[in-house]
Amino acid sequence: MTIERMFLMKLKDGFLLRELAGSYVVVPVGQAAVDLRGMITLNETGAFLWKQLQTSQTAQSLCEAMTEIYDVTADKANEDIARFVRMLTDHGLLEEETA
Amino acid sequence: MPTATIAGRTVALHGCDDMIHAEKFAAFPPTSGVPDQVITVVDCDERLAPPAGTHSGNDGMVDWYRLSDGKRQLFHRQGLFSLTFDDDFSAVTLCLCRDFDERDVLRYLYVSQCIAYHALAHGAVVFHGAGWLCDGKVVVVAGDSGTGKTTLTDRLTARDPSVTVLSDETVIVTKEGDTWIAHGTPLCGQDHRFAAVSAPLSRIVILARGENDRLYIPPAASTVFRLLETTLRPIYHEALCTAALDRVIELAKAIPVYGFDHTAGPKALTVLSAALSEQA
Repeated sequence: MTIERMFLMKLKDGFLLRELAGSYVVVPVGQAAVDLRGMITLNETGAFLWKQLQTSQTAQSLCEAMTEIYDVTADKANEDIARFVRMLTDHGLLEEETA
Repeated sequence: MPTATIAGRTVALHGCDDMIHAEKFAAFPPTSGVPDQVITVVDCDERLAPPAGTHSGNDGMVDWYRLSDGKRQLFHRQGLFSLTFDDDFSAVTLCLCRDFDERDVLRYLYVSQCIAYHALAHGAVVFHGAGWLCDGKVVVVAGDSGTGKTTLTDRLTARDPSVTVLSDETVIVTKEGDTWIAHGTPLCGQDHRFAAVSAPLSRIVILARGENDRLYIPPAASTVFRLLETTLRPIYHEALCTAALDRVIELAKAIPVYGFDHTAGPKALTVLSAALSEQA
C-alpha cells in the first residue's frame, strides 16, 4: 500500500491508550465503543504512531518522527507506517482530509 | 421508600415499592438518613417526546443526549422510555411508558445499572460476576451470561455450605488503603442469592466455556480486556469508562487474575478448587 505523502490523517476521537507491562492497549469509549466492540493491542512502535496520529499527520511527518526516534531507515519506516495506517483504515479508525 | 446502603453508598428508590429491588433492599439496611443516590421511576401514559438537548451518540434504538442543565439522557427513539441522570448518577429518573411490553425487565435492568454506575462514579469497580466468601476472603468469578457463574456457585454451595455468596450476579469492589474489598449487593440473579457482607478480595477468575477444565494466567493485555468486559460501565459516559479502565488496570496489578475455561461438567468445580489451591 502506498500513502499519498501529503495526505492528512488523524485518529477519530473516543479511544484510550494505556501501557500494560510493556505492551499497549487501545480501548474505545462512547460512540467509538458502539462502532468497535473490542480492544486493540499495540507494540511500542504502534503506540508511538498512535500517539502521533492523535494530531493531524501526513505519511511524511510520521516517517520523519519515526526515523528521529528509532534507528530505522526511511524505507523501513514507510513500510511500517503503511501497514499500520492500513490496519487503522480497515477498522475505520482514521479521519482523512486533504491538505 | 426502599432505601439501602450498598458498598457504603446509600441508595433510595422512589416509585419502586413493588419492585423486586425493594424486597432485596431489606437485607441492606441504610446507614445514613441522607441518600447518596436517588432513583425515581415514573410510569407514563403516553409516548415520550425527544428531549431538547444536544445529540451525542446512539446505540441501536437508544439516542444519547446532553441536556441544557448539564444532565444526560438516554431516549428510546419511539418514546417508550427515557433515562435522565447527572454525571455521577446520584439523581436518576427513569420514565417508562405503560404500553411498553418490556417495561419490567428494563426497569430492573436500568435500576441495577444505575446503582452500579453510581458506585463506579465513586471509586468502585463493579463486576458482572459471583462473589464467593471462603475463609474470610472473596473470590470473584466473573463472566458473561452463560459462562457458568450460577452452575459453579450452585455446586460450590452444595459441596460446602460454609461458603457465603456475596451475590451470584454483581459484585462491587472498592479500594480501602492498599486493600481491595469485595462487597455483596442485592443486584443478583434469579436465584436471589446475596449477602450484605464485605471482605478482602483475594482473586478474580474469568470464566469461559471450553473443551477442557483449565485454569491459566492470561497475558497482561488480555487480562485487562477480559476484566473490562466483565465490568459494568456506561459506554455513553466517557469519563466513567475511563475510570473503569484505569481501575481495572490497577486491580490487575494488585490481585491475581486467572482465566478458567471449563466444560460446565461435574468436575469443573473440583478442577477450579484444586488449581486455585495450588496457586495460593
